Amino acid sequence: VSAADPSALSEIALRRLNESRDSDVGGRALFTSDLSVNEFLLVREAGFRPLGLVLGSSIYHVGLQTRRWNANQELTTLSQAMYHARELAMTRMAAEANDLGADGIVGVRLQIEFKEFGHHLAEFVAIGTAVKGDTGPVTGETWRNNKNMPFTSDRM
Amino acid sequence: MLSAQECAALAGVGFRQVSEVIGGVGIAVAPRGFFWTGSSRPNYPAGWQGGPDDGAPPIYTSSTSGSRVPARIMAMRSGLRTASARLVEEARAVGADGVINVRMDQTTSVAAAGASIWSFLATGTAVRSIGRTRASTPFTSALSANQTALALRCGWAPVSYLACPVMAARWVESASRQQERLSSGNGEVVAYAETVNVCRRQAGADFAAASRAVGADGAVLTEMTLELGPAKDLAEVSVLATGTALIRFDDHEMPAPLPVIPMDGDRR
Repeated sequence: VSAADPSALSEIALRRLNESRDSDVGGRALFTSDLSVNEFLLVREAGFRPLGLVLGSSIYHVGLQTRRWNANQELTTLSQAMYHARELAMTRMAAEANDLGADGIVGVRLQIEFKEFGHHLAEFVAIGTAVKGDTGPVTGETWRNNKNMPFTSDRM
Repeated sequence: MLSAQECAALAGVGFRQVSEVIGGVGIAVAPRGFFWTGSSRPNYPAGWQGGPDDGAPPIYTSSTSGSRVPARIMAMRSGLRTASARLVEEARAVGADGVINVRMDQTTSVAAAGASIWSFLATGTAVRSIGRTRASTPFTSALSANQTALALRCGWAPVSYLACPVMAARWVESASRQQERLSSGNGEVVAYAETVNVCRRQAGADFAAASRAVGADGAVLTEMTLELGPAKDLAEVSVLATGTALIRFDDHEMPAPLPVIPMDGDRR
């Protein structure tokens, strides 16, 4: 089958699909990820292999903020809440990746959503894909950060 | 509906658009919570409110509770399954080899007796190979035409659209209830945070198990939505993980979609 023939790809893909539908599924290695297809393919290209989906969440109560109506001011309670809750969510995600023996987490998405049933409650959730390098970096160190935890990146 | 560009992308990997297909189902759901498993009374397991002194209450999930599966999850699973199956049937009827762009819409309406009605509508674009090989069962995929083309060029084919609903619940003891009060300062609401983490992780695990069950080599998650129940004394959490299972086929000489500079200088 030549690569220049467009029907070639659909042929190969469907044949493989049919085979897999017929065959018994064994305990093959499998990964899950939150990456889009192009991100996923690029991760492989960059010398990493995805281990699996990791996530951490925090349901956080944002405290009452006193404020003057006639002055600009930072809402320090809210600022502090954002920092703390983000930290909790990211740490839990990193801990899960650490358990998988990952070198890093890529494609990290951090979402903050104030829940409607109580508008002082927010969910901070971090979702990413744990990855492991095929080889270590050229410097001879590890991919992990200075706390010996997996690195995090919002990119692939 | 695909744009001209998307049609071209599909044609480049040997597929053409056939038609838009849908699969729909409506289900009447009793308005009950986690511990309602189908009978007329809730089915509370022993010790669900924790120890009398300080023991934290246990967290239950619909995937690990054995026979105690909430009626809502049963309805959800059957709705998702039926809508997907009808989508595939329609695709088969138009001679398609697969369905791309699959989306699942769930709408809730309230019926007379307070019971809700859930409608599940799966929509997608049926595609057919221009070659001679036919799929024994059409594949389904949440990927767009462009993403499908890209995946195929790199040796990955979609297998199945996956939707995994999970519910989790935990009794909210008074210490935790305090953290929710308006007067309390910044702080995590432990009962909810624990339940949400357990529920989301379980959804991730179920998503991986579902991918394995369809014989996939990998899966990409599209989204993982979260809903919190209305009850104040019960942290009740519903998560729906959706995505696409992928299968690897033999390597062939196709260039990577974009050049990437390897982070490891020794490679190449």
